[in-house]
Amino acid sequence: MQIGEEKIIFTGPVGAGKTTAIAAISDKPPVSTDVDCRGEEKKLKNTTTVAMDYSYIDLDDGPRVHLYGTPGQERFSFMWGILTQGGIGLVILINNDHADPISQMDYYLDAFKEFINKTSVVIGVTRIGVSDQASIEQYQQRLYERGQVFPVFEVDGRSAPDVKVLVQALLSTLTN
Amino acid sequence: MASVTEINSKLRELKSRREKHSPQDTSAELSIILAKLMADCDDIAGAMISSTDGHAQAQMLASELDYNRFAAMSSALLALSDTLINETQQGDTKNILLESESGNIFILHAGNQLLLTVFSKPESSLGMSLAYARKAAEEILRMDIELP
Repeated sequence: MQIGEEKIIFTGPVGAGKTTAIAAISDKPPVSTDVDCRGEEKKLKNTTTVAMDYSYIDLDDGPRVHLYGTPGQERFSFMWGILTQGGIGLVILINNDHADPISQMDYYLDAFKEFINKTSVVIGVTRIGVSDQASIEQYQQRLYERGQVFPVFEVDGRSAPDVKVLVQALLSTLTN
Repeated sequence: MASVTEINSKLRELKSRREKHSPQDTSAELSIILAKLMADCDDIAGAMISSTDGHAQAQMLASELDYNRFAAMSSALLALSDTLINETQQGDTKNILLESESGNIFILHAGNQLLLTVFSKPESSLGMSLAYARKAAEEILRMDIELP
């Protein structure tokens, strides 16, 4: 990473759309480490990230931003500390089409607590149109209960403009 | 530890039941391959077979080691190695070799769904343990296992 460039990390549960979101805004095809899913995870999707996703985006009149995606599963949590090194902020993607998406947000906020305390975070909620399990207000309410104020957006992980909003919002929370 | 002859006969018995094998049989077969690997090569301190998505399937490691973590780490390393090798157009990963002060670790593909991680003893012969590890990986490949 060169001077003036930044690194941000995408995390969140399996099936939230981390790999898809990074691919959506990348200037080039991302580096991916997807393998076939098996067992319970196969019910959610066909492939899963086991090491990392990587790509970058050159923002208009802005810095080059390196994008790293983590595996979602706890068994790959050793990658979380490796991938956040040198990062300036975190994007947590949450799949609203889940039995308890709010507790999933809690889980990743807690798991990345140390990194978040030093940097910043934005939350992107995917599949709100598919499932009304929780509303954006309920995510904000939960953050309020936790004593935290972070931006929460409804996003389509496949949409480049939506994902860029997350990245821009994260960068703007850092410059303020 | 069982003799090589005993291990071979157990392996044949399990192979003869292949047509209707259960996940337990698969795990038993894989454990036997690991036992054989360790009986054949004194340089090997431990070994594990895991799925490409990071779940342990069979292991022969010291009891204090958390093989579930090693399974996830092995799959991450091998996936990253495959990505690097593919992107540089060098074909497929033959094996990963990690050299440390107190022994080596090899990670090899063993078919499409499985990988083999082998821990060698300090001062061991790198070539010898790698050769046995490759042989074991080929045996696993020949089993043609379909994980659920």
